[in-house]
Amino acid sequence: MSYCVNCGVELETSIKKCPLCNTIVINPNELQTDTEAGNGELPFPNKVGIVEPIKRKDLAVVMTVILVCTAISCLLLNYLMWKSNQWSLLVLGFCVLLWVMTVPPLLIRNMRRRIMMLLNGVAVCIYIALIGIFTDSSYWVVDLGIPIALIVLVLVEIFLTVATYKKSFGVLACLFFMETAVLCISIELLVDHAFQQPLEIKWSAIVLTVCTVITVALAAMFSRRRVRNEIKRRFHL
Amino acid sequence: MGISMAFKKNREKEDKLWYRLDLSAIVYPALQRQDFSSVYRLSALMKEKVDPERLQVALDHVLPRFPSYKVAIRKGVFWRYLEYNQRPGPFVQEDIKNPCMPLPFRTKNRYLLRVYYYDKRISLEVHHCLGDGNGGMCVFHTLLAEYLRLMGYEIPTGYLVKDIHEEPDPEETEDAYARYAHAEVRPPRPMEKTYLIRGTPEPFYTLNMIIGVLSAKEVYEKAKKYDASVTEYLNAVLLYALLQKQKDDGGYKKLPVTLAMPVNLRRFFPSKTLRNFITMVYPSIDPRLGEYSFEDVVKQVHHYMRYYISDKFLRGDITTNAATQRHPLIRVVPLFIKDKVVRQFYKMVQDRNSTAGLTNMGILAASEEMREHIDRFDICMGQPFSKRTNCSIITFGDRLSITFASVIKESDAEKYFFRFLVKEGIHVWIETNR
Repeated sequence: MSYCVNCGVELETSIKKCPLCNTIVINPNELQTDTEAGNGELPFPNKVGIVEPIKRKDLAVVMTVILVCTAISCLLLNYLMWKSNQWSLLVLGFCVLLWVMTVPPLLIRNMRRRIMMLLNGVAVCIYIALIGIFTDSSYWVVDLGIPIALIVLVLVEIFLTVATYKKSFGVLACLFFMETAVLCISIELLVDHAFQQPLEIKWSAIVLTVCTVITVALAAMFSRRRVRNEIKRRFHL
Repeated sequence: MGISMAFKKNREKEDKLWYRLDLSAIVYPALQRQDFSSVYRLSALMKEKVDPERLQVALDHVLPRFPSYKVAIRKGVFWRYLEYNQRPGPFVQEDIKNPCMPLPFRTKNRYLLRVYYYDKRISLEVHHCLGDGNGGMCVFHTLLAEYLRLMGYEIPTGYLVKDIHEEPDPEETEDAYARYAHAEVRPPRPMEKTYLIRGTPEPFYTLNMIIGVLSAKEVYEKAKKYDASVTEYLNAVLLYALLQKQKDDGGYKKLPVTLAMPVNLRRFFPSKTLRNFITMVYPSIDPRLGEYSFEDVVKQVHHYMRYYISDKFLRGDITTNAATQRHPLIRVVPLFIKDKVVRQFYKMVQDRNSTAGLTNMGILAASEEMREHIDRFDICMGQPFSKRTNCSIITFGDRLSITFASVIKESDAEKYFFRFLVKEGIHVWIETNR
């Protein structure tokens, strides 16, 4: 029978420190006999319960069946009825794209967001290339479509990587504005290059200026702990 | 042939069985998160070690008697609903360190309750969308009675123990709100901002429980000295502890300290329902009005409770809540939009208008035969939605058990609460899962 010297409550025999004030339970008599407090049977087991994972395999199977059926039906219609061109390849590509975007996250538990985004990005690039091949207009695919998709992919990957290791709202907000500026500049330069115009930064300079001002202001605010705490307090949800 | 026909008919009947969610139950599934479910726990500490096999048999015998608990929750286009669950289960399991852990709707064969055993303790965890503590306690008592019968003891029906061979009374599964929420005026909901406990959040899969066991007689006598009931007295102690906590926090702005206390509406509106039939009252102390002594707090709580907990005020309160659900425009809004709005409203308003939750189930009545085999009952309100503490009280015989459940590391509110009781001369015995 032990009592907490601070709180005055009687503690259950297995308790090693008072759960109210964290004072360690020491029985001076038991110290001499080399025994410690907290030898009683635990009121709760040590085993931590884990929530059973939700089985999403069924949904993945249904999605796969729907997409496969759609693709096969279109292929058959294309080769048996409307044979004018190979339009079914576009539908097939789109089905593959949808499958890549929806099914792996259902099958693989705790799939990393970065890996998922990478898969999605690659699938989008392949689909853009497919459209280029089908429409026989590869110039915009090579000069605009795939480069813009790749830049977006790289920027999203950077953002997700930083978000994984750095949870700070300030850092993520600064990164978001800087990436927006980088994306706008890249798009403008790529458009200039595609239309064989001199590489110049025009409208994206405005975005760059606005984003830089916001980023510097945010960095200045969030770098000071006092201001940061004040903002946290004022804007807490 | 006759038996198979009867079985087929019964099966068809069960197939058709479904329930609309009651007024309270609509909210709880909308708040469901990956790390949060509105699950409460009822525990009984038996005098002998629990036999899990017999407990499973008892559960299999008892659950069909309570059709509104043998259900799965499903999504409709506009509302969720409960559907009779014919899958095998639920299965009893060994207890865990983190009670009231999230209960995803699609796991465990879609059952919305769990039964645990550990040493001498049997626990029933129920998702709040099935019913409130009183309904759950009825299921729990019937389960304990059946378990004890299987252990070879004679346990009569009566009190909270239902006869498992009788047909369930249709009133047990009714939505009692629908019957009584017909006041002519709708009083506004309390929207005042209150003091919120700040603390360090515990990692996922942690629920800190501190259980204090007191002598019911000692508490009753102490409450009598202040001319208050036990609920009023313990409410006042918790409010006083939270006032002290706010003072210690030293925030730049004082706010009222408020408790959210569920009231069992069956006391005022006769109903046998085992589903939800509760409403909340909010006893509060505003430290901005001046320094409150403990006597002042008890007096205020006492008068608040006597004034507000009456059939007239409570009818008005449930009518206000029911009005939203009955509004024809709200009814046709798709479920996913309703979920988002309910969650946001709860997060921004409902969760912020109380500092802590407190419930008192009162004195549990049980037959003499059952009393011989049960040492104590505990009740846990479950994981709080935000970083705060929930306090649940239940009395069985002379054992008054107070369980605090929180998801923060600090236990200051609990500390002030129990220290105050000790100072008042009440003996407190503490148990924890920390």
